[in-house]
Amino acid sequence: MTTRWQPTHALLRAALASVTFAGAAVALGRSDLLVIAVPLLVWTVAAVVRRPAAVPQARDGLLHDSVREGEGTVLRTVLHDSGGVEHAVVRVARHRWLLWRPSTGVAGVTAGHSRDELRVDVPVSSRRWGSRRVGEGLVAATSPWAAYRWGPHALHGHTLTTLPVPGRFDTKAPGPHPIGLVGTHPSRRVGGGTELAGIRPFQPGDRLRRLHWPVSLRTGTLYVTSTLAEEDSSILLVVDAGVSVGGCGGLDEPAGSLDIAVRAAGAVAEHYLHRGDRVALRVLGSTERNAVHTSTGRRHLLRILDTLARIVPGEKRSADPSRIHFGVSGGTVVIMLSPMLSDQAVTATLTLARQGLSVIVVDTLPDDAYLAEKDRRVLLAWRMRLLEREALLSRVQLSGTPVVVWRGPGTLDEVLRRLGRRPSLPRMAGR
Amino acid sequence: MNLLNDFLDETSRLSRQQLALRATAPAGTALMVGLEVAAGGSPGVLFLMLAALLSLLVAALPDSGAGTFLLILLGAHWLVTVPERLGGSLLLAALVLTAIHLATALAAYGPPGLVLDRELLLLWARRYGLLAAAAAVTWLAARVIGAAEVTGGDWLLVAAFVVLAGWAAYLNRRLAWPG
Repeated sequence: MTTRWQPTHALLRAALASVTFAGAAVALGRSDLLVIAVPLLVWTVAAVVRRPAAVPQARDGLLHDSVREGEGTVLRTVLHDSGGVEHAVVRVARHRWLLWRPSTGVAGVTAGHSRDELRVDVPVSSRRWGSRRVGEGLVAATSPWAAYRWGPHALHGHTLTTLPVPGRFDTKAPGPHPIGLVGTHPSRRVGGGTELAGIRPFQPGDRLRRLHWPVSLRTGTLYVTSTLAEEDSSILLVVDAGVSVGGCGGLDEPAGSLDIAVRAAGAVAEHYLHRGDRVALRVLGSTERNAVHTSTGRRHLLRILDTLARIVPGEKRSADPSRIHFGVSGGTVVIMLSPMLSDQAVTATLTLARQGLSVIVVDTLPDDAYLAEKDRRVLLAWRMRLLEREALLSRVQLSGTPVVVWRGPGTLDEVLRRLGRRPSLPRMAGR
Repeated sequence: MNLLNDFLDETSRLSRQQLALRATAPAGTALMVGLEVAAGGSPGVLFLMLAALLSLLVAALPDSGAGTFLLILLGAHWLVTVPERLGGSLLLAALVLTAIHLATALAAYGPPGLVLDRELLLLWARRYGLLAAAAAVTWLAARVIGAAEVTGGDWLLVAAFVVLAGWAAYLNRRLAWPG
């Protein structure tokens, strides 16, 4: 990225006007014209004397490749060999979800005493999750006396991944089918834990600290307290990215269905991973990195958030959901986050339920979803779509899959408790 | 149509500072006309229309060749119409022309929306002071030589100017940044 300095119109103007006036002054013997010519001539001489010798080289980059929604980073453009640069300016392309400072996306900086390199920093904040190019624009530099200009040169931008800020989520309900080795969910199996399972007669091998003295003294026989084993559970989050309905909101704006799904998935993943559970992710309708395997830990949370940030709504709808291999084991709780507006999501839900997995559908259609259309035909089509959605939801509920509306903390409490009680409930048996 | 839309779009994004800098050309042109009248000149309608058109063009497109034509037009018209040669209005006219040139150069520093920092504006204020001093010294020298009726006074002025330009260039190089 190197080109030469080019004289500006200011230099040409000063040179041409001053030479014309001075020449006319001498030729016509008009000293008054010389008075007019002198400032422009001084300008010209000063500008040419300080003509820059070195050609700058521009390097640009983001200080961070990945930020959370609402967080910011800096686009730094560094001009090396900037000995002849007095002022540099950067103009970046604006984007709906990017907030630049200054808001115009145009930032200039005057060279100080240190002339080896000149930095132009433009702070930027990302207002919505996603992966997008940031910093495409132009950079230019001006020499002293505004006499020569270098550039403008293109800045090609960098990819900034904005991780979704997980919504607020909490659940006090235990996982319905803990299947791991260690964790925080009380399982149906008796073992070393803290949740009381019952009091039973002492058996060889029981620890003495487990003796329940009040019952033992009353009955004259040794009794011990038994506890439930605590295990971790496995969660599969399925995000329906086939369609996004409603607003398309950054922070502090009305959120669309996909925004709700992404932020809810982040919140649920953060909650369960923080408790030591294992979480997997599958994105329906997205081609790039649409699956994250089951794992645990903080790095795994970042992996999930990164995958969520790369979702492009409606990118791929051709995949047959009944043939998708979700790669989950028995006992996994599947949380489907979807506005339930497509057959694909419903088919995937029913397929998972038929495999004997506990499936919960979280309805992410916003309450205030509306169409900013005034065409009556479009509005009629939307009403028909909502009626179809009601039918799809009925199909899901008839299969025994609970459907809950996302409302943040406590959304899953009731359904998780019900799923936990389900094995002990009486069942209709076929004869 | 696209060009017009682009122009209007860019104009709507001008910062207040850029608007002020761009407004200097029409305002300075009006001031020059006023100084011409005060100095005894009589600007014609054609000149006024041409000057107004050029000044608006400079305001719209500061990074263009229109500024050159405007400066030469104003200077040439002064030469033709003003009978008084070395009055106080001449010095003012030189300062106004320099101000038009300086403001146009500053307005062309960057794209719409650019706000020049205080440091750069102070630097340009110092430069304008230097240019004004050079004009004032030349004006005084011209008056002294004119009053003394020295033979070949114009050539003496040119020689003085060359020395002045050299001195200004030296000062500019040494005093570009304080310290």
